[in-house]
Amino acid sequence: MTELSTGTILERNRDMLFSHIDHEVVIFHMMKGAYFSLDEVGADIWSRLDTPMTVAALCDSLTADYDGDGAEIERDVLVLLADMKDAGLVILHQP
Amino acid sequence: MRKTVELGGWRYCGDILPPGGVAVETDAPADITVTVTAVPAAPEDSSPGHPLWRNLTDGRILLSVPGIGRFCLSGGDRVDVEPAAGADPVSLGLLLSGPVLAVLNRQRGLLPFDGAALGLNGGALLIVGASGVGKSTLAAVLAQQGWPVLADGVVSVSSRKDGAELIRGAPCLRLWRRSARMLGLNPEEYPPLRPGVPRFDTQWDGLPPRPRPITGIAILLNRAARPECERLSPGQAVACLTRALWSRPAYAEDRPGAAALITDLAALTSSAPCWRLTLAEDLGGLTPTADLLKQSIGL
Repeated sequence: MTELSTGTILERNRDMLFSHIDHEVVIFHMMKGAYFSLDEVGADIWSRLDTPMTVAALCDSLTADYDGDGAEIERDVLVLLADMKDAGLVILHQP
Repeated sequence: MRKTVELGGWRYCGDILPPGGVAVETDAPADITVTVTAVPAAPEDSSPGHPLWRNLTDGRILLSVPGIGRFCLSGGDRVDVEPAAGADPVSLGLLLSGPVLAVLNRQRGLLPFDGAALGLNGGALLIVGASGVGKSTLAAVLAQQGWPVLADGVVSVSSRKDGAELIRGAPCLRLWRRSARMLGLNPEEYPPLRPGVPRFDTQWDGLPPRPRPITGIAILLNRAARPECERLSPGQAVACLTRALWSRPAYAEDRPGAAALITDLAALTSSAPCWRLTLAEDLGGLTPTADLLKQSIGL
């Protein structure tokens, strides 16, 4: 199983159906028949992952756009990405 | 001659009818026509799909329940039924007023929630959620405090960008015997859902039947030691509400169906406040749960 690290390459699971609602996004996982919602920051991360990128690149881009300590942002992002991975919303690749 | 009955605000005409309906004049227009006829089997060449529901290419939806029968639903108002040999007519009728009605609702563009509705601020407060969690019992607790009952069972909601409305309903709550007794009701005074099943259709004060704007939605998904109530964002509410719909596999397991559902749910959650309400585990905790909901609503 691929583990999350800063070098991990992230890619949206393209089988997802999603829709933006205000600043959030609702995602439908067709194989699971389950619906998920992401808050404003999660929706922003979902949008950025339209292009596959490493965890480090994602965190760098978020640190550039959001207030907050880079290490703290990376920690929070890794927690969210782990949830997204468990839900099958993103696919991980090792470089 | 075919009979016509009204149940839950919906008028059924046909060869098989849901139990508990009130007979009405046969020349009154029916919302749903039920015909006993041959119904095609699920196509063998289709994808594995859901074990009970199948979508045909012409838009019709098949429901196949072993030992009960096959239903073919079309146009939001037509049901063809082929009963299984020796099928219980009450079971056939109960399917009509539950999962079948829900899919017909969706074919009409409505959202068929599993829950109850009460009068609030000139509109309707929906109490929707997982099956068996206690939605009707909570509604009954509030009804005993004077809230008018608008609907129970399949709660039919029209959701558009300019607002959402409860479309139909009747002042009836379906309660299990234990819940009825806990509320101080004598369940034997009410008709049972079916012989041998300790569940009863209890009658309450309501409001004149007409569409009513949705003024709030309480979503009940589970129970816990202590009741909790959390205001949801529109996106959170959409994800939660997908678990409070009747017969969702029939109409929202493919990409177009899911997209349409999300659009309709988003219009609803953007126009009405939504709360996730966790019920107390024991029935005796329902009054504090109701108080918590009222406090969250601002009453």
